[in-house]
Amino acid sequence: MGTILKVDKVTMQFGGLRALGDVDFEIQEGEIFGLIGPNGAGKTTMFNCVTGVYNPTAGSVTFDGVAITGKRPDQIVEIGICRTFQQIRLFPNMTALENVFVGVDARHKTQILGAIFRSPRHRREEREGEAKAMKLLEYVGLTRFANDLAKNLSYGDQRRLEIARALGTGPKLLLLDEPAAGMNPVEKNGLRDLVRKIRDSGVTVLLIEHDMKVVMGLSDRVAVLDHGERIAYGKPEEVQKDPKVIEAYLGSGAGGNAASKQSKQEGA
Amino acid sequence: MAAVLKNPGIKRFSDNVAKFWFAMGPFRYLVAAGLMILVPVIMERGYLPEWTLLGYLDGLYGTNILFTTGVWILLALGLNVVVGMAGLLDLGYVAFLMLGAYTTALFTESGSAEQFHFAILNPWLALPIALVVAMLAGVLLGVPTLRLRGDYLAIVTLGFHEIVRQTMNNLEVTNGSRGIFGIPHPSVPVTGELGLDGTPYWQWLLVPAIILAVIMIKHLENSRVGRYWTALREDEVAAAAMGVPVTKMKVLAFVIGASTSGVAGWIYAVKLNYISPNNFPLLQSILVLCAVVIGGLGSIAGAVLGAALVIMLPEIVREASGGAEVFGFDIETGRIAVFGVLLIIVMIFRPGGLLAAKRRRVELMEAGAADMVISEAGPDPDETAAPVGQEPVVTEGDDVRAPSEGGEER
Repeated sequence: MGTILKVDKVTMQFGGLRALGDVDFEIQEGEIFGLIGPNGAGKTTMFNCVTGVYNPTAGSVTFDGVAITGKRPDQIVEIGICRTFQQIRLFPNMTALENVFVGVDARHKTQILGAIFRSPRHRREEREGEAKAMKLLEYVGLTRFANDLAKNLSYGDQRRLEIARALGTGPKLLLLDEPAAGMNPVEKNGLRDLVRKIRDSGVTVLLIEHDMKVVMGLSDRVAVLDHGERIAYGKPEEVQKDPKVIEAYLGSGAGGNAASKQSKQEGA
Repeated sequence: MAAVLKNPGIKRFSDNVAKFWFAMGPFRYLVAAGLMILVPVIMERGYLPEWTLLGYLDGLYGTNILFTTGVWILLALGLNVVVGMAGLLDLGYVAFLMLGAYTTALFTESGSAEQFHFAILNPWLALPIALVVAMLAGVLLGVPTLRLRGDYLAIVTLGFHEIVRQTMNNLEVTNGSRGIFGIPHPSVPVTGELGLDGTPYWQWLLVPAIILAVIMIKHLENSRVGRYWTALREDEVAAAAMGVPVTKMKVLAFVIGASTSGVAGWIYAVKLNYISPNNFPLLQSILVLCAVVIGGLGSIAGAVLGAALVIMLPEIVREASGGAEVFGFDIETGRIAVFGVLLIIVMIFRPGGLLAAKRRRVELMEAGAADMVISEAGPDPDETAAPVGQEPVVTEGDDVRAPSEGGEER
């Protein structure tokens, strides 16, 4: 079990706004790593730096020993990192199956001439790709929606479909951006099982999550961001007790679910 | 108002036509090819009765219109890839037709001997060159501009059309605004040189080109490439995050689009013998787009039908009106206006186009259904799981209001 992703002093500056400042962490192969923090802490910015949407102002991201800073998103997918989005970004007017197929296509090689002349490789990839996409739908429990348009799925199912689509690209590291957001308790339980299942199948998971119950129960280790700085890093139970983390979530009043839930409990 | 316009009878009829067409399966290519070859011959003889509307287009006049229609079908097929499939708004598409036509002129024995030629080749050999030049132009235009999105891309492509036209208008080698005369006709084994007289035979050039283009585009549509284009159209950011090489796929869409118009440009040039910048006004680029939209964005059969309508309808209106006047305007001169009205009507009854692509058809049907339900599924489960009691209240007219809930309204 080695380090699969190494984030080294990553800084992201948007004009005068410092969204990330010298953030360091390392993810071990085969773990579920949680990235938490109040709203606006820079979690999604971090994701964007890892997946090539942003090019960090300073610092470097290394994946499996390869520097990936400055690469294009599609190149990073090819190297083996794929993500989901905080605001669901499926292809709404493609069917569930087609959505996953687009992900699976990332590992296909057919080019334009192969497609025009229906090369043997094209036909093989179409056949295998469809089978693989169906299998992934089954994996996340969406088989019966295979031919439904993505936008017609329920919210929780759309989240699952996004995960299936990302898994289709055959990632070694899967980045989930608030996968439990907006899910009901039953869906959240299902999601927890799914994330564990993904990890057990050999995919490392980096998870952004607001729901403390989800993130603390799932993660092997977590890093806490606040105002773009990493304020804590380690096992969930240690981090939870860290005074800086408690202050970030409760003291500032800018917290997400965790803060509001706790305050609700206090109120009751 | 909207309810009246969505006349179920008209809608059912056009739905059935579309259903019938697609029900023919692969057989419909044969039917299309047969029709495209046979109909011109029958039309030229004037055997078609006038009530078929095509009957108005007889003789040389009619077959010339059919020729233009064929060229435009090729154009619409190519533009449909760019706009309908990849979702890139290209307003200067006819620039590629121009480049194909001018390349043909400059590589064949055209004009006077002193005039500039890159080479003097058999017209058939100019075909691959015209194709390649158009495709290269697709790359050259695509690489720098396809980072732009939406409106910006539309403006740049609009400019591209004018740039190409003005260049042809001002260059010495293209004989400026006088254009190039005497582009030779190609010869074929049986009938010899295809001249102006044997007009129906031009379909023998056009029909294979159209069928090949349709098959090529169909194959692309049902492949990794086509899925990538659809994904790009749907959500570019998500597509990139799923490994779609965004710029490369967009440039490819441009190149494929340019290829059919390169061929169209060659056919255009060798048939008409003469090309000048005035043959390619900006309006043509807009009209090709009209053809694609009328037929149905993303629909291959739609592009064919749309192009046929855009070219033939104004001519049929001209012939059928027989000098009739409406409110003091004679219909013949106002035929483009008649065409505009028809365009609007089509867009009201079938916003997805006459032969809407399957995907769009579903999309629009659902959009219609969604009109009736106001609360859109939001990301909050508490909202989506709203109790049944929250039915939307529809007030008179098209104005839909949310039910007032308890204390919220004051």
